[in-house]
Amino acid sequence: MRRHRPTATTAVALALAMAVLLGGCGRRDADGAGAAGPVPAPAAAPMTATAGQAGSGIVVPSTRPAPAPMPPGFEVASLPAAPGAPGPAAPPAGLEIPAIGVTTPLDRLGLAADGTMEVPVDFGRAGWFSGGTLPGQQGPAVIAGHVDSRSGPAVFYRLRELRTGDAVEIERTDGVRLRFAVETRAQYRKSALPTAAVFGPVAWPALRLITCGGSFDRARGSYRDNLVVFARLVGVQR
Amino acid sequence: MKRGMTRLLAGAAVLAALLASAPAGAGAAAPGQAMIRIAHFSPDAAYVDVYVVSLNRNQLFPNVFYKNVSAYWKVNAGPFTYEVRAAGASPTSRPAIKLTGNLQAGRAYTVAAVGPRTDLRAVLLNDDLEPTAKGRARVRFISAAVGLPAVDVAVDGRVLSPKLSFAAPSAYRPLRTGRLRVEARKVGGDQVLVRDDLRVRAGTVASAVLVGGAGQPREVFAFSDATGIGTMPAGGIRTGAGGAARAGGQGPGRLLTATGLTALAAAAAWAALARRRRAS
Repeated sequence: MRRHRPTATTAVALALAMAVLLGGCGRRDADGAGAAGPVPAPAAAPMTATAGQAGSGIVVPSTRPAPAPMPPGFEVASLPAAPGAPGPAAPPAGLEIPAIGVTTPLDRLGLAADGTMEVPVDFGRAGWFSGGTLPGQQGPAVIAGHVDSRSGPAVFYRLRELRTGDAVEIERTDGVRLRFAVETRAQYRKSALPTAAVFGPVAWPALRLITCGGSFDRARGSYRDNLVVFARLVGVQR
Repeated sequence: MKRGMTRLLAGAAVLAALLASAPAGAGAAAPGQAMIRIAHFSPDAAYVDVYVVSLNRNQLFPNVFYKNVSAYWKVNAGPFTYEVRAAGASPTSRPAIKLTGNLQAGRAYTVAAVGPRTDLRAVLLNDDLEPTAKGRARVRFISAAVGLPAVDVAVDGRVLSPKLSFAAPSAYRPLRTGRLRVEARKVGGDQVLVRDDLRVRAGTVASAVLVGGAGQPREVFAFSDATGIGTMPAGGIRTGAGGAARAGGQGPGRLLTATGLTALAAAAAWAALARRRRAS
């Protein structure tokens, strides 16, 4: 069962997202912090309607009018997800990936002294890169977990089994649950990790799940590749 | 026959490897697709209905208001049209503005209405979602303020985008992060026509639009185009200790991954070659 039917929750989330979307996701903050709340009523006094404007002028209603008759073949109000989950953001606390049986708390990862990303100390737990995006906010949130320990499989051993559409859920410290859907999966040489694709700008709330893959270089005690699963936010549950 | 089959398999494996390593859900849309979003900067033409018709998707945004900016959505690259009508107007009525364009694959666009309602205009902006320099942001400026002459845009006292004219976007400029002081000055002079603050984070690509006029206050209205990680981790990520790797050095995911498939393809080709040598 890989198809996820839209639930009432996702419908509400979408409606919320749409409200935020058209409600002023900008203002002066371009920091992607998702400062938007519920749809603000238009603050400015609406202009009065003027009939018979010349040229390319437009006659505007002074109050929010009833929707136009829906043209056939058009998607109405089925807007793409807003740049961020509505409401204040909070750090992630846990990760669940039902398709591969992963349930783990999330440790905080930073940058090591040599500029590489820290990895979880515990092979059984995944970690969130706190130098990056908060899950649910616009941009790539990065989560890393080991594929194996010295003795056997670790938390992200089955990450390679994930397929397009699989659900990845993150619970935040404020109890909000974020639902992501897998878009794609790719494997790269560590020596040629395409940082722009993995860590570069994204226009929506995205998730990168990272582990190791490929062959194991015993001399270096390290896998040669990184496996990256790309996902995007599809729902928010409060 | 067997050899032909092997070669075919090898070819398929190489193809699969190529596909697997194709651009992977990055900031840009998949090949053959573009990203587009709408924005509305006409201070006195609200509410409006915005119609965007592309090859594979027709989108209607009802009741769009001043300073609304949508998220991006993906469409097939190719021709598209953008039409704006007064809210509630019949979809078959003559639009107040109409723009036709051609969307290129892998690119992102913003299509916006600017100007007063008596002289509404459509602009199509090319958005550049490339990563920022380490610890920096990238911002472009757009003048959409009704009645504002061409201006020099200064950030923290330094002119960054000289002679910014109405509806013609500047290039994206690298900027420091935090709270920035933005001034729109009369070209070549010190007279400040619009002054506002702008906050940007590291890794963020943003648009800062001079808006207002026609009864609305002039201000800088900014929104992010895309967000990346300000200081990206260097190199690979060490997420394995080898305990589940095979003795031969092959790790997990061997059969499923691009590298694995490439290795398989190479092995198959090698085997075919070896067989041929043995036969000769």
